[in-house]
Amino acid sequence: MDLKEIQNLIKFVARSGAAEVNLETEDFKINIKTESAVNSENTTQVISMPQMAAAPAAAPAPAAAPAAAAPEAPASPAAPAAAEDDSKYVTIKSPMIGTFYRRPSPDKDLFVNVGDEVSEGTVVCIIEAMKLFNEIESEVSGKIVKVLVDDQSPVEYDQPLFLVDPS
Amino acid sequence: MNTELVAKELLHLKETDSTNSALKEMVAQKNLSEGFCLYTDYQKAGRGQYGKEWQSDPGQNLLMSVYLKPSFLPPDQAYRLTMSVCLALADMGQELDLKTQFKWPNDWYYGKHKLAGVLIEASLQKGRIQSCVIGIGINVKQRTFGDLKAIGLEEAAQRNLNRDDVLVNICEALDHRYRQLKMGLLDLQHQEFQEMLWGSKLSIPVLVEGERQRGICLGVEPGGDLLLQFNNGEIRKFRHREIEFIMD
Repeated sequence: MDLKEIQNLIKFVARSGAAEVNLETEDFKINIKTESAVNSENTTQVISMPQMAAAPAAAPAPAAAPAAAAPEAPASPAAPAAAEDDSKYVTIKSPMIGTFYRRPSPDKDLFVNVGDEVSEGTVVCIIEAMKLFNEIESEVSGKIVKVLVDDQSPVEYDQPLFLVDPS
Repeated sequence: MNTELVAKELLHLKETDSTNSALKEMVAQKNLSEGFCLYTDYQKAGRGQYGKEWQSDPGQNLLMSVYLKPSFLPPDQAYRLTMSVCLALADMGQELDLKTQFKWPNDWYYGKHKLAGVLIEASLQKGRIQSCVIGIGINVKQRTFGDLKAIGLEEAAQRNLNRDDVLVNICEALDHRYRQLKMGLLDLQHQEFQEMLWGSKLSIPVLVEGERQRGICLGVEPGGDLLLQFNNGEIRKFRHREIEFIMD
């Protein structure tokens, strides 16, 4: 990890609202403590959502609630890399198991494409489960930077579908 | 109409592309109250599942969409809403002394003929269901269906029916079933739905991975997966499109 990466990590931790992050790999050990650690020492806010930490994709979302950047996240070796590439993006995830559709029907245009601006409430895709068609709306405003799933392919619960740049 | 929620506001359109599309457009434009119902005499571009067309002769059938907000349902249990709508259809059939069944996952059948289809479109944000448009197409007076194995309610019940009466009956039944769902009578509806599944009593022919086999529908999971027991005793779980029923 070079200096720039460390700087990025510190920035990311600061923005995430996490109080403290301990990261240890084979060659180094880093401990970042933010001001909010001092301020919120009496609260348990940061550890209130441990299940979010299990999904590496949840960590890089700066727009999410402070608790989303749970302290366990950097323990996974994949997390620092993910934080670097996608830290400024918000992930739109599938709320259910189903089939991912990028068009309202086969002869229609795509809901969204890479580069498109979306706002809160813009329909970005359909997840079909048991012939029930679920239009998934964006929860942020921003620009689509990546479509992570192919049209008409099966998706799992919580699977990342889109990356949105909220800036 | 004796309902608490469904069709308290009712809009009739002479014709429209599809009732679901028309209702979704209205939802996007203004704040509709829950239960709003729209029906039409003719759909110029009636839709079935994902692009499939739904054919219906003008004025013969009941083509309607209802706006509901089942935000209390977790998205992975949205199939419970399909069960409620199917049960409402069955309730209406019962009033006409019709013994009907459901063909998994969302069709209503009299014998081997289709009486109605359901098309639910939900809108989700932040992992929660915000609202749903429930499209119901019921064959009422239509007598000929070309190659389709379908039947009208009137022919099945062998009595003259007024389409507007059918509208009132289905709205009342849906109102009741939706209230049950809201109250959390989930197991009750689940049980009732399973008992009325096509293939739940007698072994039926199915097509799995291109092979014709026979089995019994043991039930569905709250998420909608079908449990089927093959004649050799093996039990398997199926998602939509992994299995096809042979209705010959």
